Amino acid sequence: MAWCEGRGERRRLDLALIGAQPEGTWVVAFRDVARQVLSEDEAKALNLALDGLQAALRGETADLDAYFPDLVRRDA
Amino acid sequence: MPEAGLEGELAISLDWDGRRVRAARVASTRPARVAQVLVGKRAADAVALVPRLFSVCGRSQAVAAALACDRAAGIGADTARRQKRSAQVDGEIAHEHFWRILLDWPRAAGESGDAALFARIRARLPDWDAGRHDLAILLAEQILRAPLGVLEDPERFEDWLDAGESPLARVLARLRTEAAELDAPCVPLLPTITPGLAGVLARRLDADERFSGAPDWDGRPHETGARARLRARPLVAGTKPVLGRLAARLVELAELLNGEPAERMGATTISRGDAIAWVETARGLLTHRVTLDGETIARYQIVAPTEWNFHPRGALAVELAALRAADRAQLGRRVELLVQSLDPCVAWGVEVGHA
Repeated sequence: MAWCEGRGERRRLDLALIGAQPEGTWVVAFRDVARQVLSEDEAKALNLALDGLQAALRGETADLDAYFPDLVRRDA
Repeated sequence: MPEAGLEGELAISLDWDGRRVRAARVASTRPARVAQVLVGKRAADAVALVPRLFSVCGRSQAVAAALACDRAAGIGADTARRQKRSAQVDGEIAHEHFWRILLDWPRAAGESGDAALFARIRARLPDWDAGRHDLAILLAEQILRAPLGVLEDPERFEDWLDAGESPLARVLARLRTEAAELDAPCVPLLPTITPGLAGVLARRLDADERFSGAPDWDGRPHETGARARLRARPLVAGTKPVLGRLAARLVELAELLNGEPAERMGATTISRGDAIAWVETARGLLTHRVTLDGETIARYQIVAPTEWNFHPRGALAVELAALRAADRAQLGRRVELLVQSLDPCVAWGVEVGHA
């Protein structure tokens, strides 16, 4: 078990499925069980995407592209 | 109550008089319009984004998105791509079913579950075509400690539970006792998805902007999931609903690992640039409806299995409303079992007030 913080929450997560992790590692959890370790890039992209989602849900639709830089930069 | 992140949670509240539930309310705080963020994106980008936004069944979500966007754009899939998508969905269903079996059901029965075994199984899952053979053997030898044939009919299943020779048999025997007292009439099972049925869902999505958050069929909420998919299997048909939902996942897992063919996905065109796709996921039917404007998404609507089963008047609400319990602890166990049997993809919390 480990205390984890992210996206404004603090929760105690079960690490049994992924093993002990160094501090600062981002994980994806489901029902207080950490199920997947994220690389730094993956964590960054996912956090941005979730920020974009929150912005969209608040009705801020003007410049959502900033939240999805890897998509926007891809060649058309 | 657990704190909800962006994914929202299921808020269950019960009025209990010390013996019976007098009223039950099921409310989801899941943002209903998550799919809105996909509007304006190119279809290919939406498909890449979807598994990030919906990570619980990310692969099935990605497949549903790809199927819907491809169909809307008039793109067909070659055999290789179809097989790859099938393997991804099958592997994900197996992953979720193993998780319930090894971790969640034991917890519902007051046991600790086998995280180490699940971790070993997870490691084998990514190589689905090779891994599933090993996992079929593992399911029989280590989890059932009996031939897979015990899942073929109610009599053999009951005997296997009674013999109690594996942790899972003992867990299910305990849940069987609890489940035997849960006797509510159920909402009907969702019919097998077909292009025609999918077309009807698309028309409902057109007609009612709340449909994606609270879907119904034939004027009433329906149940989706392994029990609906496998309703004709002798074990599922011959077992009372709550235990039947668990049994159905076991049967489905065995069939998946044995490579039994099944139609788990499809898509149909609604009109030019407009399509609806579906994937049968671990928790039930997932549908994505996409309308394109050229290469970009003009409209995106998702109906997930959790919305069917946790509808305010759906399976959980109906069955909670019929709960009896001798004390608060038994009430808690029965609520947990009911919720587990329907398996929401979000966190959930219960408040019990006195009627």
